[in-house]
Amino acid sequence: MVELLKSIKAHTDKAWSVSAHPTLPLLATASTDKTSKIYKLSKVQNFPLISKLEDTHKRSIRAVSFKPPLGGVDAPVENYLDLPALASGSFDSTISIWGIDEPENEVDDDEILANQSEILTNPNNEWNLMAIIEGHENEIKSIDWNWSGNLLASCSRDKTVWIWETDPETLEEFECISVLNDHQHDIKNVTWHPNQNLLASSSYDDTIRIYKQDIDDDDWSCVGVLNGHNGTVWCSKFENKHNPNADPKKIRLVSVSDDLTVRLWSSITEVVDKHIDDDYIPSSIKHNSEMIWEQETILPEAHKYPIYAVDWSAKTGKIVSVGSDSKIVVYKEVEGKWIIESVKDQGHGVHEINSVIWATLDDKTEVIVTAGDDGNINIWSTD
Amino acid sequence: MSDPINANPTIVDVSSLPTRLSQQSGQQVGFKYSDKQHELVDKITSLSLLSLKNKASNGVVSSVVPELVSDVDMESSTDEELLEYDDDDEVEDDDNENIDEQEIFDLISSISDPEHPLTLAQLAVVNLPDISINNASSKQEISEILIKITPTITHCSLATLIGLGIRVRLERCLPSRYRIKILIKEGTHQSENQVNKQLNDKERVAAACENDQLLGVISQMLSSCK
Repeated sequence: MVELLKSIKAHTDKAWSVSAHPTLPLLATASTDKTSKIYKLSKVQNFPLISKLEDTHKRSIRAVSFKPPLGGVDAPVENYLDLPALASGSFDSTISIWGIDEPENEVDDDEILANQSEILTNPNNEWNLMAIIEGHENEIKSIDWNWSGNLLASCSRDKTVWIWETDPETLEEFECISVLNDHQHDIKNVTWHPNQNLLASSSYDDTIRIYKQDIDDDDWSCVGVLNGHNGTVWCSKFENKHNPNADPKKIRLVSVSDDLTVRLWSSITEVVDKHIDDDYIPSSIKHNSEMIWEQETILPEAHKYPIYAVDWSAKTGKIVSVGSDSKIVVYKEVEGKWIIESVKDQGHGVHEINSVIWATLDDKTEVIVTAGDDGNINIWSTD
Repeated sequence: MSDPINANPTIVDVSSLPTRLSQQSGQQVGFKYSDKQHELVDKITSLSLLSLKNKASNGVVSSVVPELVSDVDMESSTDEELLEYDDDDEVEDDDNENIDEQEIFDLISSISDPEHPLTLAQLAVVNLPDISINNASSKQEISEILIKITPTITHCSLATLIGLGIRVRLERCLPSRYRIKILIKEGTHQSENQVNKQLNDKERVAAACENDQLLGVISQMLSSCK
């Protein structure tokens, strides 16, 4: 059952997005009130406010995303103090990058490393603006870091997806390495695969597109189009390879749409690309390995109005979706069949819910976090 | 706009439009004014050169009236202007009663067309029979409003703007439990689906409302609202 643990009145206007740090108990928010807030995901400490990020964006902040640790969540670089960093995307068409300074060296490095989950989530750490990234023509709708934190993807109403490369240790420069303009309309969401450099974008043109880097050169290109939704695709998420139900031979993606459906797509990864070593095939044909994607299933219907966000738990393999009807719907896979585990009505009263994620508290319990038009951030236990 | 898109629209006479506002004149809900306050209002309205019939139909005069009157530009002062601040808050306050179709019509019928000096009701862009409401059984549940608009001509490029004006007006006036759907009436516009999709995309609408230029045009359209 989904039960309310805590409701935080975080913003004075719509809360659009939430992001949880992959290894630290930190939560970031984005709002129409042009601010972002950072909270500590600690039930014992009653979810204290760590920092308020403001005076930077001229319009609504639409999306936030925490950078994963150096080396990725699965194999973080040892003996390295990875400072948390956040990216925010705004309707003002810019992205801001925020971070904290290295904590004062009062104790030795080993002690800092041992207590980093406390030290790096301390409200005394000052969160500073590190960079502003410009490039998109108009509103940014979504941003996301890849698994290792050296690539940042952004998308916009200007119909393009941009991939920015940076040094994940310093975050000093962001170089645009690709502009992908395969969509015909406004792009609502970008999301990276949690374990590899595979990117998905969801659009107002009712499709999802999948991109990866070409094998023979470094260019990025579209390697798959997912057709099926009959309305704007608002959000999608890849399955983590650690999901208990994950099949190592398959990549799966879940998507939600204005058409009120939650769809599951899959692609078999074992297909050998015949063209790669064939020098006689013109480069225009062989240049990338097209992926075959199929719609695996449509999850049981539960929503009455547009579905705005979805997330797939890496821990339990459960999926959660939210939307305009203010419902929080949890689905689970039982012997290859998806069923609805629970439906929580009025998650944000009569207000629309814009964002949902699975997150882990400092005591290692998994929670659901939602952001609504009421400006609230709600945290839900799922036991 | 030098070249109107529809230079010769059909116009409905104001007196034949359905309304509840006029019927309510003397007995509008709200608080009553003491004689002293009435005197004050009389004084202010007479000073302002506005015709006295405004006051009569106004019933409730909100505290912003003096300021409004002193600022009023005679060119643009219309019958509606004095009334503007009434129901914006009132609908919100009046949360205990369900909103009906007539009330929605009253909220949007007086929006001005972006290119004609006429209201959306006069141009029959909004019509009472094309408004439907599905009220939930309680205020803690979500209710629905569906409005179908009829563009004056099938290639009207301003249909999106008109729809946006209606949405902004209703979002400002109605409690947040209402989900508002605005559609082009079937067969009245050549890009019906595109316009419908844009008008009901919450993110596009939110972003549009942060565009100062667009917001300026919408404010202009809403300035004639009762």
